[in-house]
Amino acid sequence: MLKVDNLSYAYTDKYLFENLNLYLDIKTIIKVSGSNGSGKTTFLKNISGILQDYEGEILYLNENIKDISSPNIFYAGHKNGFKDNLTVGENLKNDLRNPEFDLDKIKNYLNDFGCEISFSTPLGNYSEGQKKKILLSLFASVNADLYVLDEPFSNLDDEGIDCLNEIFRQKVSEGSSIVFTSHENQGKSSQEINIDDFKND
Amino acid sequence: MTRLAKRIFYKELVSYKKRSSTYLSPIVFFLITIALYPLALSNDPADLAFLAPGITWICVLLSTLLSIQNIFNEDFEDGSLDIFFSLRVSTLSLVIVKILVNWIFSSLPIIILSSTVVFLLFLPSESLVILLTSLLIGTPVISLFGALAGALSLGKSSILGPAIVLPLSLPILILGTSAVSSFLNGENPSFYFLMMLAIFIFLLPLICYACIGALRLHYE
Repeated sequence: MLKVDNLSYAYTDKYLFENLNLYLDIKTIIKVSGSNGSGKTTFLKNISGILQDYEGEILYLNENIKDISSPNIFYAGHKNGFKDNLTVGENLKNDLRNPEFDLDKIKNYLNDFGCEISFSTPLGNYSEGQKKKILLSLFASVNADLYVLDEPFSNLDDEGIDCLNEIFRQKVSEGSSIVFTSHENQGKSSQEINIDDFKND
Repeated sequence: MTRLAKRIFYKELVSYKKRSSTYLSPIVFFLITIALYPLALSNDPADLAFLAPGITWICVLLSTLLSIQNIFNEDFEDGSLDIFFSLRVSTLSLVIVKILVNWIFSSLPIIILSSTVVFLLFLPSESLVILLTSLLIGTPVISLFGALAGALSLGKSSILGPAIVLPLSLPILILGTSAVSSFLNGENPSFYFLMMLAIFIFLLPLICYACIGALRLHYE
């Protein structure tokens, strides 16, 4: 599904990582680990096509990621893309990653996360953990081939972590693949890469 | 892609509606400054009527500055721009939608409110249409400059915004005030309107692509 060939990325003159190779098959979960500032988020932005000034090649379904007009990739970054002044419902309904807004589906996932959320309350009234659960409920309700998630386990309580692992298992059984970052020992994955291994100091 | 542009347009409308400070601050600023001129300059209706086109245009320019420079900043800060790029949203549609919605919320109310200069600055009522027309053609150009400033100063200090917008807007300011003044002197203002329109048509594609380049620069 996703093939990364000799990927290198440099900020100004300093390479964050060099010659990174990766093959992601369908029904696979890859955990990207590494120390703070090692380039985990940058790597996720590379494979999602957000940052395209890298060296090397990224192929998504045998096509260069830069040339694909609408890849079926769901990206959830460290910043959630939500607006605090809008209500939870308005944020979810107007989220571009969510082409078919299914309120009941999202409500069910929020219940699974043990999260009591009013859709008519401004998002800014909720804590970071609750916002994370709202974002993850959105992720769970959207159908995509590849999910790219930055630190999905941060700010989550134990119940949330178990629930997210279960959603991961469910997504993979449906034929999707997941790439996520974590610098903690959280999240079950079939493969793991450490960005620090691709540094050339 | 048009479907995505429509969704961005709708989201922007909802977002601006909820962020009342974005459109209320320019309105309040405009009304206060317009009301201060008669107190500070003169209470002679003839003097004020003579100065009205210039005063109105300066107040409109400064008011729109209050909101225009943050046009892309919020999306950059909250990660929305990342999502736009991950979904391959056409950057051109994004830029046009953002400029359009910003103009609707930051300039249109002020254009409507500028009718009050007939009472506050004794502008002859027959020249009001000329003033409104000049603002309708001129303010989109200011919005274009604002968008460029916003895209260039993404995530940086906001001092860059006015430093870019004010000097670039001078030709529009001169043409806009000249249109109303020439009408008050009994001349035909259509030359000034055509000039402003030509500037807008010339700058629209140029600045949209400059904005795309500036936005992309932050992703390299």
